[in-house]
Amino acid sequence: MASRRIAATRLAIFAFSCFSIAPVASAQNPASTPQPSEGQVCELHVWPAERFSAITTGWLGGGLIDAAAHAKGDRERKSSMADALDSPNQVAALASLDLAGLLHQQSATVIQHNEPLTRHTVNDIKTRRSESKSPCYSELIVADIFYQNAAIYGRSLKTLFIYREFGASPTATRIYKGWGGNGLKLFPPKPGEDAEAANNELVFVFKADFQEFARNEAGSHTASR
Amino acid sequence: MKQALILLGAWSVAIPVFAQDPSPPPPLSAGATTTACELHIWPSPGLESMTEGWFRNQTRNQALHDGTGDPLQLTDALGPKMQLDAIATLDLAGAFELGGAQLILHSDPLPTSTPGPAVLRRTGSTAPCYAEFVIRRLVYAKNALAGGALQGFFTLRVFGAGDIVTHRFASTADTPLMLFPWKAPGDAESGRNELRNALRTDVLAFAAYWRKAPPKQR
Repeated sequence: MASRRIAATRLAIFAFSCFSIAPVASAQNPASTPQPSEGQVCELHVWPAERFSAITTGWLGGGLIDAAAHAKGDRERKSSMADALDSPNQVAALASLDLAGLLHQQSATVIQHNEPLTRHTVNDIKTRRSESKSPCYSELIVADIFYQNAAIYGRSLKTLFIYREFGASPTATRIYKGWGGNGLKLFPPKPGEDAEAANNELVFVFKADFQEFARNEAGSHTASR
Repeated sequence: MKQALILLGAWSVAIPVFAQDPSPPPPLSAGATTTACELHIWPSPGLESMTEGWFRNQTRNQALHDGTGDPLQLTDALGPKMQLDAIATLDLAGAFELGGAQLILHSDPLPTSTPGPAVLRRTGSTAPCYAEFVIRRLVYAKNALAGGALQGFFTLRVFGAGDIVTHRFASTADTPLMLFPWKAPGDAESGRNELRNALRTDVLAFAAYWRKAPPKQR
């Protein structure tokens, strides 16, 4: 009987924890922005994405024939995107922004991780992904990068970010997950064309995606107070 | 004697020189010939993958070592030395319109972030006609509908006599693959040959793009 009760309790905790991360923000303590004590510097750890997607839909509106028509192009665009936004470039692009300020966090030392986290563990593991014991700790994970070209809406780059606050705890006290997405004008370059301008645009739009995500994150933070 | 000198000159142009990396080649001495063009070539660190199947998208390099390690040695299928061996037989000087340029092959890939400004020469060479060709990345790209291909990412930088780059061109080319990734160790050699041929095709396609590129893109 006791073991059944424990199992039920565990199930309830598991269900609650699943509910608390998906699909957008929720928190065990919604108003808990990391508040360092005086003189204490927070840590914000940043990881890049290792999964990319490229999908083009034409006037046929999707389906197998449409996908087959764009398969070769999407194969190239996915690799080109992964080249321009390889792990060091993603992390460097994010580090060039005022991450703590945009996330409405206290000043934080940005710790850059160039090696991506294994994608399928990103949602499963709720504990800290680094060895840090910082009492004011948070994580920003780039989970997915997605190029989309739709016949009506045009080309865009969408990026899925996950922001996790820990404070002094070993497990996340607040998780916010969301997409940022912005239009593209130069990417992908035409075959045989110089790719530099298009690659620069990708990096620029990737940063704009984060800024959009951060605005939404800050908005959800305010709303939950 | 004259014939011997001509033969020697032709040999020095045709035979690529392997630079001793990682240290850059020493500057030419005052007495050395400074009229010849130099085309410095760097390989990529190796093969990467960007693949997806019918039902699931894969992460970077997942196709090359998917949990079971790399028993078929796919990651080493196109290492730096193999890349240089594959393209050394091409007339790259002609393909890049650098008539008579001496090929200088650097056995080590460039570091991910090269120190110093990106506009300067990467070697100590003071040749008055100088260019750099970098195989930045080689990707085995595949999706279920289009099949597999070797996608090469290349950069050409031309300097002329100065230290600062005058023309820079970066682009990609891809060639379909039928045998790679091989399924059995016995198919490895034919798979490697296919990759080498695909790399040669990619490089020549990139050179053709360079020749066709409008002057403002060069």
